[in-house]
Amino acid sequence: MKITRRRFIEGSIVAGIATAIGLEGRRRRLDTLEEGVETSVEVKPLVKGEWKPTGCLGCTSWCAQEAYIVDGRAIKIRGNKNSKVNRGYTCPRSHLSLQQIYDPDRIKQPMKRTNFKKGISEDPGFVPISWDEAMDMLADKIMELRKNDETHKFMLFRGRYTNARDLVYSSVPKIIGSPNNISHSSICAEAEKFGPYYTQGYWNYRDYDVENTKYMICWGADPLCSNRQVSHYLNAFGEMLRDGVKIVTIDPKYSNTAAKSHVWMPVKPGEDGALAMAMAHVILAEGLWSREFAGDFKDGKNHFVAGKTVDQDTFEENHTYGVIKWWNLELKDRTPEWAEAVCGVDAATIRKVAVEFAKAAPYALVFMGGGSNMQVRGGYNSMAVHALNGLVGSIDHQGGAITGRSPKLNSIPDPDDYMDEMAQKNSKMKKMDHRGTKEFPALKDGKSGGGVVTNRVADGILMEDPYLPKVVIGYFNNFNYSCPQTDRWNKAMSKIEFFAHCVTNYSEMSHFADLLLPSTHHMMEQMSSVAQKGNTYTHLWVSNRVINPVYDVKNPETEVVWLLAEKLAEKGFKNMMEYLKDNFKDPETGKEPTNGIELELYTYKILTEPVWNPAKYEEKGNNGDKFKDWNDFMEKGGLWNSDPYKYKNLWSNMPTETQKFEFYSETLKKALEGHAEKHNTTVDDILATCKYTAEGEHAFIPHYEEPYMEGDKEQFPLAFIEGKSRLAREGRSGNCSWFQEFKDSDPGDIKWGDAIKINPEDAAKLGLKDGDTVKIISPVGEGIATLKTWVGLRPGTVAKTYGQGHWAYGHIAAEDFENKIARGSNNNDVMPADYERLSGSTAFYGSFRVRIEKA
Amino acid sequence: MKEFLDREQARALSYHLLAQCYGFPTEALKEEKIADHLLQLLPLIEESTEESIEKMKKYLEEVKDLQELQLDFSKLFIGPQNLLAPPYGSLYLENKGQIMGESTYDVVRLFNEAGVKKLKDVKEPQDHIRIELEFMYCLIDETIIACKEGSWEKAEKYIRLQLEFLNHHLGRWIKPFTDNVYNHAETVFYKNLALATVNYIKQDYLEDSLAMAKEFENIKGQK
Repeated sequence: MKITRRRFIEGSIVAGIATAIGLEGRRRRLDTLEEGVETSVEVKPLVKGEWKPTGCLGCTSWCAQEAYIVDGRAIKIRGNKNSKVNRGYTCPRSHLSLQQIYDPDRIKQPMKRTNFKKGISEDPGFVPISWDEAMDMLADKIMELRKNDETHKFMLFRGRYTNARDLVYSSVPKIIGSPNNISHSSICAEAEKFGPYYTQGYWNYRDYDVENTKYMICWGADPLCSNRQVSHYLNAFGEMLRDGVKIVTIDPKYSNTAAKSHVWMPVKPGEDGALAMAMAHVILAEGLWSREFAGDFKDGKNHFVAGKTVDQDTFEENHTYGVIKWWNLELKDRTPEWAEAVCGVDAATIRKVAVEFAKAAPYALVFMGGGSNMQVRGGYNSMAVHALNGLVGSIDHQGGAITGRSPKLNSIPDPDDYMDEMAQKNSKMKKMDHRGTKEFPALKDGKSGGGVVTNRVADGILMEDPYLPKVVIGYFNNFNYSCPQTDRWNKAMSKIEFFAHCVTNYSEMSHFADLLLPSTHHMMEQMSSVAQKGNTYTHLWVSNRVINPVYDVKNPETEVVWLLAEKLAEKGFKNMMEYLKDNFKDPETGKEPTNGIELELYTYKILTEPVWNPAKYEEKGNNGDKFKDWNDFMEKGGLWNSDPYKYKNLWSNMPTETQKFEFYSETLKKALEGHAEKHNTTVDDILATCKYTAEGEHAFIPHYEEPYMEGDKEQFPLAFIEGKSRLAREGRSGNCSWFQEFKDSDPGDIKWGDAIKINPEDAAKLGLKDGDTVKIISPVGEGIATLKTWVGLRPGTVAKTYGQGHWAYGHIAAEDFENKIARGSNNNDVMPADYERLSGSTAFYGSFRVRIEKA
Repeated sequence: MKEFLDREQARALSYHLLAQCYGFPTEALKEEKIADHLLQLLPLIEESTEESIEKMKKYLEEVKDLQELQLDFSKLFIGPQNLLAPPYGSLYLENKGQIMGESTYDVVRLFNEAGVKKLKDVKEPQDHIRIELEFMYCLIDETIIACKEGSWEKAEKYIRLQLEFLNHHLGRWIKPFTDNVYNHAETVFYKNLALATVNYIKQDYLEDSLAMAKEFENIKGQK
């Protein structure tokens, strides 16, 4: 290379500048560097990393994991082999956490909006600010609410969470003085919990003893892809198939699980109830119910004959309640032949599967997912599908449908003593989600308004009913993307005066924020903890911070709370800080927290003390692994496993009104009557208000309801089927290139694209072919996708996975991030906002029709 | 020797002043007359920067409210929406679209060798443009100190680090990075900062740094 002589530089010029900017003699500190060595990292060869325990919140499997850390950088994930739940296995989507963490599109520091007009086409004009300035702004807004005695206009939205959630979710709104803590639960699963609750008193996900089962029916569940315990089932399926377990999948689409099943029953969307009724009919008519669990006719003969009622007094039940009523009121006429015409599955298959299932019982189980019941009229499907386990006595039985042995933990300390008069008064105001109103019973745990109606909040804001919230914090959530009929959320969030969003990426909801408060990634950059069941065990994991946070980010559940409390105290409102200092002391040393990081540590120590402190362990009556103290627990990986499951503990010991498994639900009767009484009306009226057709005693039994579908058949001839995406991490991994590159691991889907799948017969009729860009038109919106002909669907339906269609979130997630052009379309843009109102659940399945046109 | 040191001081200051321009723009940018200093200095090293810096200076003199500049800065280098000119070396040196990659850790290795570390309150990766520019300043500054002290081995080490850092890092991604800045900046200031930066560094990377190393060999030989 030619090396030119350098120019002559006048020394005085250089000296002058150096003096002017204060560099002379190094008086000035540099802006980014100082002398020293990077102590946090020591650059080593890659092989010299270390596996550190952590856990994954990429779906509700909540697997215990380990991350391989090299030079302070996470480069690999594997399942924690010490977990008895996921047994060292991990699903493919956990690995995407690495790309989430090191994403250059993350929000890097707090930012404030400079354009106060809000709307999808507005440019918010975000500019960076310090955490101090950001929290000052937020605290000012809260102080304004307190000054004007309108603290109920504060609202907190919670999406995904850890065990520490109740500090920010429950205590913060209470101390400020608001009733509005809105969780995401009802866009997650509530209808799925409705059936188990109103039959056996269990408002939760179930576990399934697949190791000991002989027959498994996956119903509206796709455990090889999503929900639940995917890491476990991905491996258990191989073992089950090897051992001759028969697997049946009931799903309108050919799911991942259907592909690995012996039988696929493609039920018509929303018609799960008909199929369940017919199976129950067969089990009784063929005399295959469990005598041990459900009892028997006094004369030992089978009197269940199609079309004929049975005298109640001739049957003696054991651990169940109402089997005769169920038969007489509903099942006697629900023959497989009747069902075939309704649900599209042939009578012979229905009969065969029902008989085989019942014969394998009690080592047989129905694994119920949200597909069969998160429908407008899905509450009774949820009861019916789960009740099949009751008929054959596999409830709480080895090889059957079981519950879990959750660790008994401490709760987040009660904030009542720190709620002043204003807080006491205003926190009793009505909530924004209309729970408990006549139209939205949300009967979680038997209580009118006991559960949340997440998606309804957008309407509450738009109608200003009961009022218009002014100051809102959202964390780990993106309701403008994850709730159906997204345009309502875009309008609603435009109306909010001040919205602070705590998230990792600039999401669709962040577009309406005034303040962006960047969050730590739950898996590596903060402490984290959850408990979960699976494989007949329950585990609890607590993870440390395993890497230094990338960017200037904070944990919204603890650090942000601390900073907010500090600012509020500075401004004269000290209750929150006093609450933290008095109640969140280190349980071992009694030391008060002095910053957000200490608050994070002490919060997890307090919550999990009954697991790691032997004295508390005995006091609470925990079962399973034991530890000497916190250090011992954390040195052993912060992982606790329960003892093995105890079967049959719940038989005649269920938290229902009758303590039995209820086919005729006295528990639901009490709840519905209570709700009707509250609104001074009848149960029939409540059901009609909630879009159900049943009257009288049918309200209290699992029964068939014709699906309620938005969009008339003429204009919208195709029933829309939503599916979950293997790698979606609850809609948060769209900006990972691995998500896009492996998008075709979802059956029928395409890389870097968004496919709407259609039966080839329908495509031919419409004159459409593979690869066509098409418009999906529903009664509430339009979307774009690539057409894919697929035989894994019956004619008259189309299917599309959830997970694409981001117009925000990052330059990979969106087709054109800058111009807000989505990659494909979000199912929630075309899905009408409707509900299974008895549980408050959003209806995602079997609830609307569309038409497809060439774009 | 004096000429050598003056030229090195000029290089060091150039990197330092450029680093200042990649910080979030506040009144300090105007008050500290960064553009004026750049205008005095950079054209002495690379003539083609004069026009660009004139425009930067004029922009700062005329602008009343810094908000436009702040918004432009945010969109180019921070986000939260489409990050128009990602300021991280790893995004240009590795084809993975991720930060904190192996190239970032190579920067950390060079930091360790040079005895510098990121300030605690700087929450960006070590291969952020502003940090890399300051790092170049540090390396040159250390070279100057070592020469003044007559610590030839130490000076040699810092010269080796300068060349290695330019060759493996800054010199390799400055062009695509400044292309992004130039193509996406909405303000005259950042468009011209991109030009001044790339033209200066190109000159330094391809010619002046190598000439410096050669000059140093001669000086050392004379001692």
